[in-house]
Amino acid sequence: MKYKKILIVDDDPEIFEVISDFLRPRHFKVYRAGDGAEALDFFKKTRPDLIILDIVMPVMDGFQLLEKMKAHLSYSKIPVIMLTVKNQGPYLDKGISLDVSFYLPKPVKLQNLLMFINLILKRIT
Amino acid sequence: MNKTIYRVARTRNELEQGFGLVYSEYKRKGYIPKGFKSKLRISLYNALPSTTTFVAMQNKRVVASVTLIPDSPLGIPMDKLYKKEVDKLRKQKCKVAEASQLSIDTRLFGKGFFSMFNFNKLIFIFRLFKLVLDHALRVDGITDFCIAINPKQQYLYKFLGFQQIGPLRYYGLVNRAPAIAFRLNLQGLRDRMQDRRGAYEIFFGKQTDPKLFNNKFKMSPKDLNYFFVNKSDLFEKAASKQLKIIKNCYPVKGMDKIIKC
Repeated sequence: MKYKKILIVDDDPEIFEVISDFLRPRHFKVYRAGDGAEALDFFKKTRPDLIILDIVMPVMDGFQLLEKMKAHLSYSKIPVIMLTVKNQGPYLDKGISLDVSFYLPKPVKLQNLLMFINLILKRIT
Repeated sequence: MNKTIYRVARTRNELEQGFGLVYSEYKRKGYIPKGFKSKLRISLYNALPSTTTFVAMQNKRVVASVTLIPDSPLGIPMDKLYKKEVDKLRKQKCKVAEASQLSIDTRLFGKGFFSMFNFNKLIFIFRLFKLVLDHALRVDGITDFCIAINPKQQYLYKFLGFQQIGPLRYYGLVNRAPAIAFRLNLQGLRDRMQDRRGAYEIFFGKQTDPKLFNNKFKMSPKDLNYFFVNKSDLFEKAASKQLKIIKNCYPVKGMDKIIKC
């Protein structure tokens, strides 16, 4: 199976560790960016197949990154799963308006997250 | 989880199970008024031949159901609260239909589990909805899919591309079930969904097998009598104008005994 590249954009290194430990044995290459600005730098080198994105981060938050991605032709089609504690109505509305693929609350069940990832990446029907 | 089959209701028993499920779920949520005699949640729209009920079945048991009601001289259920908004669509020559009586057996996923955050529940709801949408598009030729939902569910529908057309209002004088009205324009939906990969994969990733629409249960005068006279008092309470519309749909012998108008 071809390895898929997942970028986790989160300022909490523990989130990255937990998710990457779970995904790596399942044929994923997992990378990390600590905020939106780092993610934009990452795109210059590598195009991820999917992004797992937090909202509250220093320098550039998740929604700001999404807005920048939407404005950039080559990044606008990268599917994004929001993973955040900000799961109240206005945040959901904003995420939906920015075309996130799915919107999940923290803490997330890893198996649940994997199913959403697999659906987006067409690993299941 | 047990294997689930999603298709149109094909027997009176499946239909009855579906109506019973809607009743028990509505009762649990407190939407059934005191003194409501029937154990089935039916409406006059269920008597129309153009109405289709879809079921999700596990081991011959209906675990979810939803009903699609294309517009007719009887209107659609949400006209009761949102007639002005639906009339606006009608004036634009939209062919509208309402998805109504959506109900899922709480034993499947538990109570209060927000659908958008749970993969299995989300996929379950989407599969049922996809079936309804494909039927609306391919069989009924619907252009605009309308729904009145509890505000708590609004994000799920927004995620599916629905747009709000009516403000918060309340059904019923006693139980006051809150509702907001949404519409999904089916024309060009595929293009609009392209950027929303999650919903796109669910809606357009796989074609619905047209066999799932076959053998839809058609009510006979006997069935009408069973559901609308014996099991409920809907024909008794309906306006003469409404009864005439229904009667005209069944140009068969014996209808005068069932529908007296």
